[in-house]
Amino acid sequence: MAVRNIICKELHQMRWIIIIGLLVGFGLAVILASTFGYLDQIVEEIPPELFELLSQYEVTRELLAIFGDYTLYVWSQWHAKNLYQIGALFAIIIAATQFAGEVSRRTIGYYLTRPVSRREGYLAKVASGLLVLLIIFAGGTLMIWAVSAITGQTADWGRFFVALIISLVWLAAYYLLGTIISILNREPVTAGIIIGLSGILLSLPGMFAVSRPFSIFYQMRAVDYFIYGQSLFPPLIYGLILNGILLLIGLRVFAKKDF
Amino acid sequence: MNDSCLQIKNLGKDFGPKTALSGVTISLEKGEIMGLVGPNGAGKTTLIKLVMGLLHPTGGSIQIFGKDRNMLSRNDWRRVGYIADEPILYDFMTVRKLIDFNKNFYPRWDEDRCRELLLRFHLPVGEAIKNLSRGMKTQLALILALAQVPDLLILDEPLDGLDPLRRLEFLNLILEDFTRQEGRSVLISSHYLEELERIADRIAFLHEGELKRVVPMEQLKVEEKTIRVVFQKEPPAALLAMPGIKAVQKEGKTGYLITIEDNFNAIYEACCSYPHYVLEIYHRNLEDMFYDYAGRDEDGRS
Amino acid sequence: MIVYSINTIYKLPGEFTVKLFVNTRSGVPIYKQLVQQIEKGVIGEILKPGDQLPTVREVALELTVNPNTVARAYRELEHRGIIESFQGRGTFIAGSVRPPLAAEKELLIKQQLDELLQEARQLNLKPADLKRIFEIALTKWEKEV
Repeated sequence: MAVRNIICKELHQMRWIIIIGLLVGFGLAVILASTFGYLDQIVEEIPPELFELLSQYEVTRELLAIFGDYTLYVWSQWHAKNLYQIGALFAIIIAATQFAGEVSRRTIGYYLTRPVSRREGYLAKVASGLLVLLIIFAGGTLMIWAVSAITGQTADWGRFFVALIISLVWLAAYYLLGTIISILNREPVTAGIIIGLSGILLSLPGMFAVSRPFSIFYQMRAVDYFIYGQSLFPPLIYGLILNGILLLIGLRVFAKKDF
Repeated sequence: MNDSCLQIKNLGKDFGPKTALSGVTISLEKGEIMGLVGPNGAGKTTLIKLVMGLLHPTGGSIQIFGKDRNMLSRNDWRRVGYIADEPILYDFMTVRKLIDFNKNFYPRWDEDRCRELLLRFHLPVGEAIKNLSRGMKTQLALILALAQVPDLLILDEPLDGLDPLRRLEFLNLILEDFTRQEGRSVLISSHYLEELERIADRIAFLHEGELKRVVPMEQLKVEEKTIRVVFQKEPPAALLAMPGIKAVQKEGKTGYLITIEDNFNAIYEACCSYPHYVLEIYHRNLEDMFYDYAGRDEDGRS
Repeated sequence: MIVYSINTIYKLPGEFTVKLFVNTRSGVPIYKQLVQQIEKGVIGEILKPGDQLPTVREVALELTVNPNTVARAYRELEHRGIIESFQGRGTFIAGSVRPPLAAEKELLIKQQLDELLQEARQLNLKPADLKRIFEIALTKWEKEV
């Protein structure tokens, strides 16, 4: 099957991204899972005076809660930080390389003249990109689980994985946006910068409490579900709908583009 | 006209305010080799990219194998082979990997032929493509296109970067495949006019986005001539206005340089029949015609 | 004028060799060049009746020319009765080579002479000069023969 053939080629082409991504993921996972114990200790050793000083900031209570609760801690480091930061970075790199990169390397002419429709050509690349992101984060997540198991730390893995799915769905949305921008650019570096900038723009709603849920990165942190205990369905469904819309836009942009 | 494998009607392409191609109508018959010729920027690559779907036309239509190009099935596309100008292939792959990758798109793939050609060209199968020379990449691109067993082969300036011997070798390979089976067609654009003269059935001239002329190779040789004649007396005006005369240039008092594109024999006979001091025939080849069109102003045609 | 040509010494199945040229610079169409060369081969008795010619494809590939061009040459030769082709067996020099060969030979020389005289006129040579040059050449030629 042609699409499968392309996916294999894309994965092979992105092998270094996958390797580095996995290494980074593993590294962060190991750090995350193994330092929890030490943080616990540190918190216990905070002198009472300092504690009082710190308790002026509401943040302190959450902080302590995090340091006391492994599940919360893992979420704060993984979903709420690494995943969306590193994830966003990799999404940018992958999206920029897959389209603008192929144009700048001039191989797009070969790619598009295979007996494959523009539609399939786009979907194959998108599937590959999402697969790479999935591999990297699945790898990292498994590593967390493994190290946690080794160090005997338990967490509410059920909620963890559900939150992970929400996060990945919204990460996918950012990636898809990235592909659209990448298609419209001839240079991967330029594309990457623009995708990054639009990421910054998209994170602006996150600065104000009122508009926070409209930030794509807020959603990537799966906050509503994980922290506020809300239903997983709204973020999941909205995320999937957004992905659907972006996919359709991407298909159209790719189909209409002159290369 | 169902015998044409590629039919282009009134094709136009604008890039914003700039018109790259306009009103191009041309037909490639089955079993024909057509050369596409024109100066840089004439629109040859644009035309080919439009056919291959890399660009979208602003106007006009393209039919391949009798169907509108947007209606072609995947199987139809498998019958079309293509080599881009400057064939850039996936550098990170080895020769073998690229072949395997390419092979998967074409069920008709002729692996034996592929191997035979790899051997003939001494292409190192395990070598990374980024280590191949330009000439070798072109050869590889050709192998990929031929092993696909296409019915329609479209080549965009494929001879660039090849030395004279390799150019001939390249063309020979195309002829080999062309003659293996009836009904195969080739569209080849090139600057190497002499090479085109050997293999083309017809030549299409493109200049500034317009199709100036399509001429069968034979006519080129038989009809396209320049006569230098110095008459003893001023000849009748009718002579210089005979059909088939493309241009007339006066030389001296009664001398003329007559450029002919058709009806050569009649014109020559006419010149012979009037008393003259000098009567010479200069054979024009593709290069001369190329300079004709390339060096011409828009309103230079009579 | 630059003359560019590819010379091929073509070894055909059997004994004889025919040197086939293709000159893309010439004003003569390629198919006609092939016709002329094979014709000359027959007139010069290098090619004899019954000798087999290579297939259209073989010639096309050997010279790197369009096979339609070669086919056209073969058609013309067949039309003139110089060659015959038999389905499944191949193409051969016609069994009955037309007499008189002598007339054809003379025609060839005459054509070349006409061109020569034309050139001489442009160079403004006088008939006397021309005669002198010719006689010297003829003497030399007779000695060699």
